[in-house]
Amino acid sequence: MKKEISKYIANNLFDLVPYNIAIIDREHNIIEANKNFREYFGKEEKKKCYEVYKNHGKKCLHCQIDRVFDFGETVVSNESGIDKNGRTCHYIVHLAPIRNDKNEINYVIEMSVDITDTTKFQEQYNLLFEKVPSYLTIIDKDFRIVRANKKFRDTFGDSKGKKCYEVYKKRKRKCRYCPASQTFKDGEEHISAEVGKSFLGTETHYIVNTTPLSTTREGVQLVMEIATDISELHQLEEQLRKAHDFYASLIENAEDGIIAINENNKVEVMNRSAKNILEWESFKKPVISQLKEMLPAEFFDDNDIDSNTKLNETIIRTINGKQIPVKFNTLHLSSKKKSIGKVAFIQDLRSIIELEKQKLEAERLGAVGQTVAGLAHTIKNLLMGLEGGMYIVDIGLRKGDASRIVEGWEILQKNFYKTTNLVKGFLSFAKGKLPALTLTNPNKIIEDIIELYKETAKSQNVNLIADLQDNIKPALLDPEGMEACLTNLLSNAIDAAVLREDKKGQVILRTRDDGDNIIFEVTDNGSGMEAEVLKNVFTTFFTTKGSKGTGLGLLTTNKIIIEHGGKIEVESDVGIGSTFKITLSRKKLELLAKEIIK
Amino acid sequence: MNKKILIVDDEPDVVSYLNAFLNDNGFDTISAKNGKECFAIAKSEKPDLITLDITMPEESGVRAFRNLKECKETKNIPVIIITGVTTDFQEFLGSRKNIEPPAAYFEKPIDRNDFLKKVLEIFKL
Repeated sequence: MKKEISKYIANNLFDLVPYNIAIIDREHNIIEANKNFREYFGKEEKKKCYEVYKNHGKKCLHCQIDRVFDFGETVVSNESGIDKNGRTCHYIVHLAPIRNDKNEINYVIEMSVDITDTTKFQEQYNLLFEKVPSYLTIIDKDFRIVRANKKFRDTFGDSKGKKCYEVYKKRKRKCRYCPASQTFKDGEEHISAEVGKSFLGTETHYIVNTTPLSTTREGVQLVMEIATDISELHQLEEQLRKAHDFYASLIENAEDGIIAINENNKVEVMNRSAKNILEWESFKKPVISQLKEMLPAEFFDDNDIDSNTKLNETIIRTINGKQIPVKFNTLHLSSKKKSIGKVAFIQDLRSIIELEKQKLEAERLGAVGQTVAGLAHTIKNLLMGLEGGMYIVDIGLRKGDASRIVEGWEILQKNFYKTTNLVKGFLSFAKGKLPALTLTNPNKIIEDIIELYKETAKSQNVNLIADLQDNIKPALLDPEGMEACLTNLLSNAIDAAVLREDKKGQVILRTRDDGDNIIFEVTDNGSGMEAEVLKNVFTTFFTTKGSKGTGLGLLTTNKIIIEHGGKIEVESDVGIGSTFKITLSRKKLELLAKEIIK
Repeated sequence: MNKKILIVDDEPDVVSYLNAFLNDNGFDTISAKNGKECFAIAKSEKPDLITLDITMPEESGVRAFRNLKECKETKNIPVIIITGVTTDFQEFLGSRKNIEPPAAYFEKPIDRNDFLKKVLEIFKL
C-alpha cells in the first residue's frame, strides 16, 4: 500500500466514514468516537456507552457488547436510542472485537448507521399496505401468498402460504388467464377484472393489477397484486340493469302500442303491441319516413314541448296500408326543459268497436229474449180468439144460425190478420237492419205523418198540433225508419188522448235542433203511465192496449233509434200525460253514415 | 134462475167466445174490459162467478183480484183466472199469504171442457 494512502487511512478515515463509530472498553466506557458520532449523539468523553446511546444509567439488559467480549464474534443488531436532541432514533449497529497481539479483546468497535427515516418509511409502507382499501397480496413464483393486507384477510381469511387462486377463487388450479403469471413472465403491469369468493361464500367482484415487486437476474421473484373491490359498483350496475329491464319489459309488454323517437327523429322504442298494430315484422325499427306513412301527421307536426296531442279516434295505416281505428295520444319527452324526443301511445280500437257492437247486439238479443214471454201472451190471446171464432162458427153451422157463423168468421178473420201483423212486426224487429241514412228534413217527416193521421185524430176528437223549429238543417236520417218510429209514438199518443173523458185529447209533435242534436218529441195529455209500466216500456214485449196492440211498437221504435245511434226517453205522469223524446246526435249520424258506406 | 157469470177480459174476442160458450151451456153472462170495471160491476151485479184476465190496461187483474178479495161484498164470489201470463199472478199470490187462492186457474187458450167441468164443480151442479 502506498504510504500516502496508509497515512490517509490512519489520520482521516476515522472521521470521514459516514457512520457513527465508537471504541468501547470492557467497562463500557467510550474511549474514542469519530466526528459523526459526536455530531449525532453529542459529547461522549468519559461516558458509558449506554449513557450516550440510550440515555440510561444502567447497562442494557441484553448487552450486545458483552457478547462480543465474551464470544469474540461480530454482532449486528437493530437498536433504538436517543440522539443528542433527545429524539428517538433507530440505527443498525455493527459490533466487532478489536484483538491485540495476544488475541485478547480489550476493546470493541461499534459502528452504527441511522435508519430512523428508513424505519419511518417502512412503517408508512406497512400502514399503507395494511390499510389501503384494496386487496393487497404479495405472491411468489409458485403463486403462494407471502403477505396479505388486512382487507384481504378480512374478506378472504388468513391465507398466508396458500396459493392465490385457492384463496381468491376457491379453485384447485391456476386460473386460465392469470395477470400475475404475465407479470412474472414479462415484468410488466397487468390488469384484469375478476370474480372471487369471500370466505363467507359471497361473490366478490374486483379489478386486479399486478406489479413486479422484486426482480433478480433470474427474473421477477415477487409480484404484488392490488385488487380493487367493485362488488358494490357491480351491485349498483346490477340494480340499474334490473331497473332498466323492469321498465323495458313494462314498455315491451304494454297493452298499448308505444313508439318513441329521439330529438333526431330516430325511432328508439317500438314495443310488441306497436309492432302488432302496425304489422311491422322486421327486426329493425322503422325510419322516420316509414313512420310518417303510418302515424297521424299530428305526431310529427307538434313541436310545442308543452302540448300533448290526444286523438280519441283516428286512423293509422299499417306498413301494409291497412287502416286501423285507434286512440292516439302523444307526449313530449323532456330533460331539463329541453326536448329529448316524443312518444306515441296507440290503443287499438278494433276490439273495443267490436265489443260495442257485441254489446249492442247482446242488448238487442236480451230485449228479444224478454219479449218472448210477452209474445207468448199475445199469441195465447190470438189462439184464444181463433178458438173462440171456430167455436162460434161451429155452433152456428150445427144450429144453422147464420148470424153466429158471420160473428165467428169475423173473429177468425180479425185474429188471422192480427197474427199476420204480429209475425211481420216481429220479423222486422228481430232482423238487424242498418238505417238507410239520407239527408232529410226532420220537419218534413212530421208534416207527412200529420197529413196521414189528421183524419183519424179528428174522428176521435184528438187535436193534433205541430210545433216545428224553423230553419232546422237537414240531417242524415233513415226517413222510413223515423217515420215508423214517430207514427208509432203518434198512434200511441192518440190512443192515450182518446181515453180522456172530457174529449179534449191533444197531441203535440215537436222538432228541435240544439246544434249538436236533432230532437223529436211527442206529447199527449192522456192518462199517463205508472212507474211499473214505464220501467220496461222500451225493452219488453208490452202492451196495455189489449186487443189493439201487438206489444212490438215501442220495442221496434227503440231499436230503430238505437240503430241511429240515438236515444229515446219518456216522461209520464199519471193523469197528466206522457212525452216521448228522441235525441239523435248529428256527429254520430255522420260517423254511422261513413261506417255504412264502408 | 140461471147462474150469472162476469167475464173480465180486455180482448173482445175472448169475451165473445166465453160469452157464447157459457150461454150455450145455460149460464147468463155479463162482461167487463178492465179491473176497475170488474170491481164496480161485481159490487153492483153480484155475479155468482167471475172469470178474470190478468194483463189488462188501466187496472190489471192482479189488483182487481186483491180488491175483490179485500171487499166484504165481493170476497165470497169465486174467481177463475184465465190468462196468458202466468208469472205475475203467481208471484203476487206468493207474496200475499193472507189472500186466498183463486177457485181455479186456466191458461189461454183454455180447454173448454175442463173449464166447463170446473164451473159446474164450483156451482155444485
